[in-house]
Amino acid sequence: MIVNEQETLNERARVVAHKKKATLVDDDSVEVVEFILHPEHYAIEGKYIREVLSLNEITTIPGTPDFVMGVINFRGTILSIVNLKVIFGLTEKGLTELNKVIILRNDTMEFGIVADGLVGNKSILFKTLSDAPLTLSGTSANFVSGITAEGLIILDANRMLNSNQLIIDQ
Amino acid sequence: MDSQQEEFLRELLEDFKIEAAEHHQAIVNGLIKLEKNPDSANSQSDVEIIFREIHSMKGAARAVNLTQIEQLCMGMENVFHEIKNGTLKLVPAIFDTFLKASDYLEIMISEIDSKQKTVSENNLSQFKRSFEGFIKKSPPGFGIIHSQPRVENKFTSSKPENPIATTAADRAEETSSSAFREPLNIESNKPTVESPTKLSDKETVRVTTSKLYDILRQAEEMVTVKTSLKFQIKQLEQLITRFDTWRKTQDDRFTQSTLSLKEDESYQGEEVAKQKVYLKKHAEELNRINGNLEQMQRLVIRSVDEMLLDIKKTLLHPFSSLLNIVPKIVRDLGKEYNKEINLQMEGGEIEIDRRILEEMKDPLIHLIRNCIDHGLETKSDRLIANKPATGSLNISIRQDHQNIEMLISDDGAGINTEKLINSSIKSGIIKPEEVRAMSKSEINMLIFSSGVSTSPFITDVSGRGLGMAIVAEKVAGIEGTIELETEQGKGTSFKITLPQTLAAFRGILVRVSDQFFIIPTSAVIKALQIKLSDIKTVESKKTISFKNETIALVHLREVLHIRHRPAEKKQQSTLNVLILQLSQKKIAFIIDEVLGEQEGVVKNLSPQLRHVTNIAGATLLGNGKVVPILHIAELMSSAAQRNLISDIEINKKVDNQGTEAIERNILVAEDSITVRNMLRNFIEAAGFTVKTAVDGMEALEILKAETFDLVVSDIEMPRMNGFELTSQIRSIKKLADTPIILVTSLDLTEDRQRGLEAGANAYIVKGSFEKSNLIETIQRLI
Repeated sequence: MIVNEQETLNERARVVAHKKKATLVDDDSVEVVEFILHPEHYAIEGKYIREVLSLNEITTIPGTPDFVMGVINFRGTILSIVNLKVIFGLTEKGLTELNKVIILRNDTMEFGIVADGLVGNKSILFKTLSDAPLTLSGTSANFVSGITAEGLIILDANRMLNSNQLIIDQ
Repeated sequence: MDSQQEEFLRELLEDFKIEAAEHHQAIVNGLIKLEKNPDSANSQSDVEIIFREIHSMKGAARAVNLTQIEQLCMGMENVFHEIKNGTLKLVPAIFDTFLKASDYLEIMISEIDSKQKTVSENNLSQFKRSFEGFIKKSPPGFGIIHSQPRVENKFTSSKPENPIATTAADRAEETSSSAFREPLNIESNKPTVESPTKLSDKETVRVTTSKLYDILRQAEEMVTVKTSLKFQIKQLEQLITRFDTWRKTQDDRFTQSTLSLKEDESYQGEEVAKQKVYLKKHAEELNRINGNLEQMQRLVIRSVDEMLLDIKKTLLHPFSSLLNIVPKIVRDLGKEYNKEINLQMEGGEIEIDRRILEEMKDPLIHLIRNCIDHGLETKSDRLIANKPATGSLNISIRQDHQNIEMLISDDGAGINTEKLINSSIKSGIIKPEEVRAMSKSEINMLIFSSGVSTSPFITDVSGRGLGMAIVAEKVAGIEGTIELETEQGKGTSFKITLPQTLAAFRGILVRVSDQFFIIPTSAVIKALQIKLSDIKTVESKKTISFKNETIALVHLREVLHIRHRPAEKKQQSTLNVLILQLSQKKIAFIIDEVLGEQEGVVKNLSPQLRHVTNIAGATLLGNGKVVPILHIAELMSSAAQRNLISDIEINKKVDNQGTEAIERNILVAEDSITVRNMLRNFIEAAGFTVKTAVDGMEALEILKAETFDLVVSDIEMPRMNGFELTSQIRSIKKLADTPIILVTSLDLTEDRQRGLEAGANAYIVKGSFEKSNLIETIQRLI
């Protein structure tokens, strides 16, 4: 009886250990959240996303550049909302809904970006990404980590959060 | 474990910083007192105090392993040890070196946390050498005069950039002019050096101010609870009113129908009676809840207000903490300008909100510098003018109920009114013909206008004419006022009246076009309605007359560059105007609507929007909506700049508005009558002209006949659906560029894809249109 129990435990240990090994191989993969900015699909690393919510009401702030859509009341604090479509020059093409807000955050900065829709979570391998397409230039190219084989554009949230170009200090 | 130790060390360093700052202030105060009167009976006890403070700072620095501070203190301590024992005499060079060393201590204390280290080892060894110089080269009873050249030799050999060399250079000047530097007379009527905790016999705890601010901030958040409770109660009251009206009409109908009932239908009568009872019960219930809520509101208002008041009391701080820095500034500036100054201060024990003290630091320093640079004359000038050689500078603090008065006066030359007027005319603040009508105090107030300076020289201290404007702005920012009296040849005095605590923020909620803003109540002097005929054009600028004063009139909308709402343009025969004032300047702003006064908390716009011109922050309304708060000083200067635009540009602007005001026509295709009317009302409310069609077919007919700027279309419609309509529009050359927004009740990816393929510009999910960004999308596409 005791031996059997021991064997069972050993067997379990082997399975568990094996699983762990398997995940270790995939250690380079990161969780991203995929969203739509019509007509393109983008993704942002999950660890920079604080929350996703519906855009109900927004207050525009006069005197801010076009990429600043306005500010919202996020549980009593005020949060600014950035429209990446303006930065990426996507305003002319595609359908526009922009009714989802993805709140990005790191140690020093926090703001929301609007999206036309949310697709869901995904796991990607950073080393399989190819470079940003040549059509992107300047600020927008800076914010792109790369593109997956399926054409999903991975954005560098940390770089966006740390970018001085997005900070308004007139 | 490591992080715990780090945390502990950080806490220790925080404590040290507070303690060291106190020691530093005591050292500086002691040195200045001693310097003024080195031979007084109290000098021995003053030496004793300084020695003790240096010693304490040394010990504390050693405890937290700040060797540089410890070393510098040790050097200072050694010198004071000799002085204390009478083996070293106090020479002026000691004060110079020690005050310089104190400055370095202050820098090192402030840089404890930062990586930047301004003070180098080299600086420290310079000090060390000069300290040693005092001790070794000064045998007991060494005379003052003889000590000078010796020490000086030593200094001249050192590098020019070192701190002591400058001191030596200063002294070299003095000795060469053979006028031995006059000591400053600094008298304080009341002992203000002691920290408040020492004065109090009550038990106290040391709490960092940041913690107090945290508590205050949280308490201020409760103001939002107050306003939102008020909003909800109002909503409930409206609901009750609507319910009551409906119940009454329903009751009447029941009564009538019951009367007309036949006998065999009496069960219906019972049913009706039941329903009436049910409705009555619920009406009572609603009223009861409303009553409870109102009671709760009163309780919340009272406790929030009381809590805020009590927390604000903990933030009160004696004025002495601000006045403590004054003697050193006066001493340094007096030396720099070679002026003798007798400083008198009183009222240091009066308490005021810490934040006000912090805000008043720069204005106070600026006013003092102004008094010394411009006000007080040089010794020779004073003697010529038959005045005592020593100028006097008085700073007194008085309390009058909730207000605190700060009086800064000098017995100097006073302000030269003529120069002031000329400078104001030159910088375009007033016109020469306006001068005659101005009162003396109005003329004096010109000094607070930006760009005015009576000084012909621009020194590093003053003369640029900016400082006084900033002083006025800072004082106004904390709801204080500033006045001044001046008499040529006799002196100038500034009177600053300050509130004891910072009041909760109050603002006027206004609407401009379709946006809302809060204007701080403190800046609004009058809200009024004017007729178009009241507007006068003076030199191509619009003005109105208010209390015999001509005030520039501007559209807030234009100053903020907000889009015009064409729907609004027609019915306006009167205009809503708010007259705002900042220091002596008044500007009238045209707004669309005043919605009332709000109490609230000023919040930052968000970390990304560090600073936006004309916007000071934002606050939350009772319904949770974010409303920007306007920055009065920036708004006034933006408006003034706008007012300076030349004739031609104004005409051009009018033209632009002309085109902007052109009607924008929108076609709405929707089969449901409810949704159609809702869409029409909603889009029209945003200022567009709307025409409707019941389906795609009709829409296409209308589009062919008339011109539209944009089409809003439903997807599911009889005869021709939204996708077909879109493809049709795109295929007709004349219409191909018309923007199309598809609205749908379903959020389907396939639909979206189809819409995109058909050539639509936007896809919006129905539901509550008010909440969607339909209008914004329309505006973006047109």
